[in-house]
Amino acid sequence: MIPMEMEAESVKPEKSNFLQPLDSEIQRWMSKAFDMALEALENGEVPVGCLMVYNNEIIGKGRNEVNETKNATRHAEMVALDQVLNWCCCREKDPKEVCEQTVLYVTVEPCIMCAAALRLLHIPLVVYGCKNERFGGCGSVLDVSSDHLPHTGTSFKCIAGYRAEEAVEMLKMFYKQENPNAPKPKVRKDLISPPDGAVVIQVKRGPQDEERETIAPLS
Amino acid sequence: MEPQAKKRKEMDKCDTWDVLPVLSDEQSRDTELLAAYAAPIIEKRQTSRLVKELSQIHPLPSLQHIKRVRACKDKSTPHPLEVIVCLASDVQVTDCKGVMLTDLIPSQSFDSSGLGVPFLVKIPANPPLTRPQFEKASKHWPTSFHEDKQVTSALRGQLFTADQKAKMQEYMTAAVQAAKSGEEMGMDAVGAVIVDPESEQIAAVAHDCKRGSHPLHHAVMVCIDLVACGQGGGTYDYEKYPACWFNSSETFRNACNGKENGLPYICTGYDLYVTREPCVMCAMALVHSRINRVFYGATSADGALGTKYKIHCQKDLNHHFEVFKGVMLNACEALEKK
Repeated sequence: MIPMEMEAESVKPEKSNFLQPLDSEIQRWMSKAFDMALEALENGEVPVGCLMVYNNEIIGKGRNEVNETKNATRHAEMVALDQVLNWCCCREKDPKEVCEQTVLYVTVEPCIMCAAALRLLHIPLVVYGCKNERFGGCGSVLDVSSDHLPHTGTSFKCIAGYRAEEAVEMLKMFYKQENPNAPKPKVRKDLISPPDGAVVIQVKRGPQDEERETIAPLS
Repeated sequence: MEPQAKKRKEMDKCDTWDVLPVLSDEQSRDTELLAAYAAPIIEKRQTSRLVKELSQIHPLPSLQHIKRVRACKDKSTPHPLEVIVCLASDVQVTDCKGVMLTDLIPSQSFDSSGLGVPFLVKIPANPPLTRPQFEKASKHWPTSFHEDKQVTSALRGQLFTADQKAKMQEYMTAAVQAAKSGEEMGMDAVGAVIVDPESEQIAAVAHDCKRGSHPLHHAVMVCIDLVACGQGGGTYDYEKYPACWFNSSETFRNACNGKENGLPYICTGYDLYVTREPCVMCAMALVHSRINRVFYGATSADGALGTKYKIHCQKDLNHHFEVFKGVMLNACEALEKK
């Protein structure tokens, strides 16, 4: 099952175009996110790339900063959200108004914490690559994206599975290079389980059939 | 600094609180029951053979906690023992009143001598995890019980000594004070304190800052980042908020460095005291930070450590921790009401 259910009532009609990005748009932004993930991989970082797009402009991007800040909450999305807020601050724009029209493109499903942060800032749409079976907050472990949480911002819509296999492949490569001495992880079909509680990613479906099917009309 | 008398009065006022463990659904659920067929063992000498053969025919793999044989407490019964034959769902029986052993055991080779006429019983579907569950379950059929002593004493309200409760009160008082300082600056009245329980020292104190410059600066998130600051990391500058601070004293650093397990790493081994139940973002941030235990005062409507979710014992997550609520409940609830 793909966690793409949304709460239609939270979407105003004039925003529906914005919440239905064209395939070409998704391709364009996701390929940038994948470039960032690859860059992270080449620099020995967890290969997750994300960017936040407002009005056809990138207003925030991020990669994991956990090690350098000694703060385990510094995930790519949290870093990118900081940049968005900073962008708003510099231009004296209302963060809520901007966030309500901003899309997050990320190579891996946001974790429970990041999903909640996205809700608190009223980001309405997340496009992501592969699932995050260990921490995922958009359906894998919990469904923070669409659960009824009236005091925790706004629920958001997900478009899942974009180039999922590629995103998984990058993570596999990272964990392979990261700890060559670690005991062999148990391998199930479509599932890698790296040691030391690292992110486990599962491909639910191929990217080809995903693209069209998950961009469901809003109504 | 408040006058001593006022301070003491405040302490007395909230001295009536109880610490309650926030248990997992498995630990707090009611005893579910399954229908099963049992039969009296009329010839006691056949017991071990019957049990062996029955468990080959009907192994009951999902009911490892069920003791196959029970002694009949009623001394007047003609048979001293009863044995579980199978689950009612294992067999197809149309008339469960006139059920015969041959309806339950299709095997030709089974020797039913020594067994009486089967009857229906209800047996607990899940292993009991807490003493109340065990006591309830045992009323229906004997079960094994691997008692979690800590949970049991926590449920009895005996987990913490008076001295430990006094310490808790000290830390939560610091969290309440931080909440009040934040409130004076126009923030939501929420305070958090992270403590190293080994050295009994406060590592960081924070209050809600989300009404300041950053909407994600909930008290817990600020506190986690302040701990990181104390470890030479951190992301933000809290100069604007004097009540948000981290412990940089030499005694604290020495206590941390003196530890066997090396340098402090994020919130590993630390306890959090927070005036109200964390939201899902903060709760998951605590999982990522490997917090040791969480103590909170009041519950929250969308709270993720007991109310909406139980992130601290969520299956599939790689770190679990203990959560207790009700610490200085009145003082914490009073913060919300203002």
